[in-house]
Amino acid sequence: MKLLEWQPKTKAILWFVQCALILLALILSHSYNPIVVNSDISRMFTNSDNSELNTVNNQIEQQAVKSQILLVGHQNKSDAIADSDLLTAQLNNISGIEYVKNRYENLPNINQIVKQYLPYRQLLLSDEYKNILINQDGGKLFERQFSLLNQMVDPNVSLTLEYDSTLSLADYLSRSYLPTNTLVLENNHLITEYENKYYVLIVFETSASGLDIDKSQEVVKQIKSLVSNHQSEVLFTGSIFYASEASTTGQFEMTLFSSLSMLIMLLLVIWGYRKLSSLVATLCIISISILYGVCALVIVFDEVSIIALIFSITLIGIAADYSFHSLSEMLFTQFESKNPLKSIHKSLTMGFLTTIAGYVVLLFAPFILFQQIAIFTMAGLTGAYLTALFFFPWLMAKRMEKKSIFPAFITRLNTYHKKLTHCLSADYILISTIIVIIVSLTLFNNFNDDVRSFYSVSNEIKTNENKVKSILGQKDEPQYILVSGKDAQSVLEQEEVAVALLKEHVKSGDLTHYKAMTQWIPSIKTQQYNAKLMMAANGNSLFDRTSLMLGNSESVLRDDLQTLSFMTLNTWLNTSLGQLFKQQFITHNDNSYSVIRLSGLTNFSAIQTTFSHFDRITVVNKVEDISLQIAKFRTLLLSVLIIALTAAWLVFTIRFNIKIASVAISIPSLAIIISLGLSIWVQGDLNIFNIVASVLILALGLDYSVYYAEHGFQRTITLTTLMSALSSIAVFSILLLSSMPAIQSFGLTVFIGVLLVFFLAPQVTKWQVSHD
Amino acid sequence: MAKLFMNIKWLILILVWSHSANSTNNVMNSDITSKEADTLINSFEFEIGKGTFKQSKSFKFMSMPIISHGDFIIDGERVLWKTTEPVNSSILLADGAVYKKNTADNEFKLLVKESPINHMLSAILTGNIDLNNWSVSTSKMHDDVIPCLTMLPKSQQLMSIFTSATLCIESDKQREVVLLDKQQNKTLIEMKINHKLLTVEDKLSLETP
Repeated sequence: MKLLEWQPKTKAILWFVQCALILLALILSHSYNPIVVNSDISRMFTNSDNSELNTVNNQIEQQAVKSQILLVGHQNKSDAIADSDLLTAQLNNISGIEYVKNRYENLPNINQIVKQYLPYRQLLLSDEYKNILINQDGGKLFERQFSLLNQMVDPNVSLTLEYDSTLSLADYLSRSYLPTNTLVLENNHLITEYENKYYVLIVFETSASGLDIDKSQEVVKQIKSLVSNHQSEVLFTGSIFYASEASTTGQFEMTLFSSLSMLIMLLLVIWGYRKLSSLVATLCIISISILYGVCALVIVFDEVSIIALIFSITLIGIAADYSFHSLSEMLFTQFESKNPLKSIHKSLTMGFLTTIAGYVVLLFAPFILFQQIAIFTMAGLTGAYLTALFFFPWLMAKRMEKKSIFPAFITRLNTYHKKLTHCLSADYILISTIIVIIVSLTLFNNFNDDVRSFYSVSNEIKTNENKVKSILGQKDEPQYILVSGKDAQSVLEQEEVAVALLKEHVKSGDLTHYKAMTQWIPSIKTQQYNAKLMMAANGNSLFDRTSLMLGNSESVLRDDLQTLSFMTLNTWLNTSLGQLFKQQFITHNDNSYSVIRLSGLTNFSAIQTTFSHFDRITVVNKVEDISLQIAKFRTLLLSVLIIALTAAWLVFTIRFNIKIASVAISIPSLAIIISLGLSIWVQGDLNIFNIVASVLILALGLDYSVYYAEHGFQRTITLTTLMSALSSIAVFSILLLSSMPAIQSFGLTVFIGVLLVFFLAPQVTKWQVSHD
Repeated sequence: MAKLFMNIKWLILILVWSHSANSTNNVMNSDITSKEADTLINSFEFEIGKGTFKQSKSFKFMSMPIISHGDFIIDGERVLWKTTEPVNSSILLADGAVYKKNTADNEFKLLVKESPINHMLSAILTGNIDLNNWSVSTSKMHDDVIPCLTMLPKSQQLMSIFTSATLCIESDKQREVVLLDKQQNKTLIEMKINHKLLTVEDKLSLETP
């Protein structure tokens, strides 16, 4: 490292230049592609997989995100309507809301729908009607037709009978494919009655960037302010309310935790080093590391999760370690003036590499959240490392001329710590580690990978959502079926296969309803088949009895297949009914997709099993998919931890000796297992965040071991590890205050783990030998 | 995530298929006082009993009506409407839903639930009329001796289905219902009440599937 032998001033200039370049990169990158802080907690575990299917699924997910619902409730119907009108007008004035609707005067009506279906009247058949035609059962056909004619009131019959005496279209349109609905159209408003109150529906959409952290907060703040001035009860639900809450909580926690962490850090520095310059140095290293972290995030990502930012506060604790190592060396030991960190730069580099290696593991996580945490921390630590090696020698040059008096309490602590270490046998540590690992292997099987348990939602949001669901009688499920094909017709054909199977599941009670396009637009193949069936039935005089009763002497069927024009998907999507399905048909990269929505699921796994062998029919359950990926990643992470421990053992063996290596890896291993054990005891189960915390414990544990192995049980190492451990403990224990269970879990495990590695790390000094 | 996964367009679709349509806001005001209406409505109420019916459905473009006969059973808001001639089919109104059964069916199939049409059928067949949902006016027929109640729906969905429903009481045992739909097709239902008590079998037949 000839570079480190340069004059402190030259190294500082070099440092300033690279710092300026980083700053420039940040400014340029931010001005060309400003980063958006995303507060949508549903995307905390966004899959970074860029496959076509995943892209389409994300597109479907985003469609639902924009739509928000308000219900205005009052005991008096007219007051509820008046209040909903007023609120709608007020919502229209809020920037960030693109579309507000509470009047439905232009709803597609049955006359329009029938008119649009009439040209295709002999191409559309209900299943029951089709079966009768297949069986050529004239009696049953007459019975079905008469039953339709005999309805007291049926607009489908009234509107089609004149043109279709076979009643096949009336029969097709009369099928009941829709779930329960409680809404009634009155005075152009959608109203429902619930617990002696009338509720009027208001729907609004946020702009595409509606989940931007500031916008969502501002929009929700304004809505809540408007609502508080209304006499009516206003219920709300929609992703913007979740996003606003998450961003408000996130911003508050980020500010509070970072302020507390900084304060504790600075108090620690003053307490440990008692010099203003040490305070400046620590502040400088933390600021630079944050600058590097932010710069990396801005360059690599377009959007950053607020949860990732809260996690990234932990960087403050880790980056400060470089300051502590350097300060202890420069303030309390003899050194070369050119390169005051010469004696510790190897350990500094080794520690840096072990921590970076720990975070590299997170880069392979299939979730953007962990990738963001890893990128931010790795870049931040690089900044801290460079600052310590290149900037500190110049910054501290004058302050280093006078050696500081070593704090007496550290000397005392060093003595106590030595005694404690002496009492504990390293062999005992090794043996107990092996026993604890074996025991834990049998006990640690209680993992919770459910993504929904990683964050908490306020009671206000939960109550509102549950009440809106009850009032509207909605049982829609987040799971759906995605059908793919090379074009619209192949998608419809596949969807018909899926629907036929879903019908069986409805009969078995596995679900109550499904919503598919083919319920209203059959594929052209099916339409051709239907037309042939109708012509055959006509040829066999199956329609004669009804025709006679209705006084028709001539056949109303068009009997030349060539003259029939079939209903295409594009035509249908532009009809009044089809427009309501537009979001269920997606085209992407020359492929077509359709979505089948599911309601009232009781046996989802049966549906999954049914479709598991279909290439072009995918059952999508995002929550389960994420949970499965988390479980996979957790297993991978545990394997990586074992590999990392093995690699560390090899490095320590080469650098020191086999005993030091064994103790060095036993310390973080024991700390990890005990902290996970205590975490399971506190939480009831373990989650991915506890395991991710283990990576950090390993990195810090190895870091401490390196210093003790390199420099022995010196006072300066006690000081450095004490400062490092206390800062880490402080930062991670602050995370326990978080309202997010995920962050709490992480904080808890690291807190216990760091405490343990601090006390156990000196064990490596028992086999210390001269190695230089 | 517990986020409400709701496509609002589906709410609209459901509504459309509950027979919505373009309609007017001009809801007819009741031309009788609420007290008079209550008294009159009470006289139309038919809580329990069974009998026979004849239904004549006249389509505007047809010279002859379509006639059917059958039996009915009413118990509170539950109604079994069983057509026996010329074909067998049954409609069951119960628990806020409409169920249907044809000869080929072994059991009732749910047609629609919590729909305005269900409430309408229930109201005109049982005479259980909620003034919040209807504008009512009185009239007389057959030489001004038979009292009739003409009902106009307030709900826009119902307004799109039919223009009016007229209930007339000819005697304690005979009543008439005339339904006029938007296409001016007329349905005349003549109900004869034979018994005002129900057997256990009758009650069982009103059970929902």
